[in-house]
Amino acid sequence: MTKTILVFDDEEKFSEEWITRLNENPYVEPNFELDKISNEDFIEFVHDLGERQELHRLGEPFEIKSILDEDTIFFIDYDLLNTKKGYYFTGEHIAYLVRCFTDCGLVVGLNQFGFNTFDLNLTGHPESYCDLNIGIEQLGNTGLWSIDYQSFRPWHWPILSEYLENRKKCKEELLSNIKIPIAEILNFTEKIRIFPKSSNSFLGEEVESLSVKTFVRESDYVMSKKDRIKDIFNDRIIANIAAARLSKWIERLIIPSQNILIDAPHLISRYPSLFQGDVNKTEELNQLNNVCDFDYSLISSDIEENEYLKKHWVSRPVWFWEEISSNSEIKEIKSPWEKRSLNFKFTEDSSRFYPQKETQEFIIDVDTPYKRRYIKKPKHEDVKYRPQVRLFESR
Amino acid sequence: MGIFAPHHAKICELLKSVKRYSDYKWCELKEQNEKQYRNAIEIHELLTDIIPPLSYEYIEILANENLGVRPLSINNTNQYYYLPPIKGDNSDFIPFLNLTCDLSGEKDVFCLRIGMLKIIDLGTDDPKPLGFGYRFEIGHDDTETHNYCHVQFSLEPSGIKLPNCPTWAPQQTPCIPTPATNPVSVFLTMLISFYGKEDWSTIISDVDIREENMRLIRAVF
Repeated sequence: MTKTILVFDDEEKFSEEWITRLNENPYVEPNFELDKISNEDFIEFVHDLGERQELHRLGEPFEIKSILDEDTIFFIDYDLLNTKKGYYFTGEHIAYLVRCFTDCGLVVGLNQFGFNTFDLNLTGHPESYCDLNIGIEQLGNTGLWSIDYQSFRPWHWPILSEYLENRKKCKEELLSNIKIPIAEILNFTEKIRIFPKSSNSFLGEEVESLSVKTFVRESDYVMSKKDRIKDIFNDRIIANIAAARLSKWIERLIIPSQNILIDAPHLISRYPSLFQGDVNKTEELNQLNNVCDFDYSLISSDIEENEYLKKHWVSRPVWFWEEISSNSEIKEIKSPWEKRSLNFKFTEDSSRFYPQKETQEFIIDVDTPYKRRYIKKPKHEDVKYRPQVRLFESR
Repeated sequence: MGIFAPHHAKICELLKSVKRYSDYKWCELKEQNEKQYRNAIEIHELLTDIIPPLSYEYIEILANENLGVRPLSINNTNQYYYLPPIKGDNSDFIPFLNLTCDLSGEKDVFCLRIGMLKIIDLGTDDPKPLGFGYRFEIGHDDTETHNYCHVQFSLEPSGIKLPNCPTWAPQQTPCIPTPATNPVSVFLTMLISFYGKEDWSTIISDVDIREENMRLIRAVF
């Protein structure tokens, strides 16, 4: 299937500019067909979405297909005031409708939270129905499409082309298991009850037995109250929205804590003995950021059984932290008081290790004991790091 | 069941309450980043890297009082129940709790161990961890010497020897009497020892302490 990128900004000149930026990206142009949606077509599309929402609330069937299919990444601006006089919706509102009533692959929101911002909370915005929120200044960043990038690349960014493919697998898995507990589908059975309440509140009540269907019908973070009807006619709709929201939950509430699932750079920062390369060489450590084509030989096979195997649900290789931190064969656990920290820190804004003196600490706003993270020093020019209060003052 | 079985539920409440408060306080300390606590923050960060903390959710499941009186132990050697930060001159000691509690059998077992960890030579290539511990216990059998609630030194409050702990320190003597008379008041005694009159009650403000224990506490102050 041809992969497509569709963009919409209420000012057509900006849509065209986005297309140009994306076309210049060597990782986009060969792999995607790019196009913009005109204001007129967009209005018609929004009307169609509105009608689908009405039919949905009446419990009546509607067509899921649209200009946004499962092989589409939809980039939409937040401020849509100039779309047409009398229409006062935002990109976020449209993202919700697209997510609930179409088969769209991914929705990327632009500029809702700034033009070039790095979120020091590391929580992102799980309430947003966009799969990713970026600023216009980040649109041309090759780091959204590969690990070949200049310098600024937030670690939480997925590789969009892989994310798109994985989303399809997630939807198919949920479609085949619509009544099965989410914890079971995601291999979180037994573990989910000790996830932080702040994370589990996203899912809803009784998380251990919560099925996909119940999640969509009852969670405050899936459908709006009036859209939460008893019987959704099409399981595909349930699978579509559940895949998106669960993916968001994992990416923005579970992984950032690095306390349930832990990714390679953070794992090696805590237990350097698990690294099969030279911990004193940044060029070797920085191979751990290769989320596209991760080299598992970099990590000790002693923890192979702790790897999280539902890889289509995560944007990077991760392992179960609880099991690893209980493995008394690991050197840092066997002799905790002889542990030596790395001389380098992994930076969340650059997705790379740097010598400690070239990094600055900040405190994240995630429910985890591992609150201290690092960004590059000096900070990337033109990037707004928010909120500034999270930056840890140096001694 | 032992005579202290009715105290099991309250011990569960105390464990949860203290853990909640501890998580909150460490978080607050790091966010406020006051100069006087920078060492404590740094040490806590280093320690939680070495020995990760138990999560609140783990404690909540463990201390589910609805499951009735049963053996209750917090004695993981690879994850610690860190207590709230200490104020004042010893703020760069990071306390953690280890508990062996079984009030379900004929003979009551209640041993609350507190480890105090510190790291010196921060910022150098070779920071050095130091540790020391105490154990707060209910009285042993009437036939034994220490048949009163007491506190003693402990070299292995977590079940393994703490780093650079003076191995010559005595663990049996002195056996200092405490004003406690039951497991709950042993726990409260521990809190008062570490947090003083200002803070001990704040830490467990959401726990209802029975009058008999409050009388003991008032006797302390």
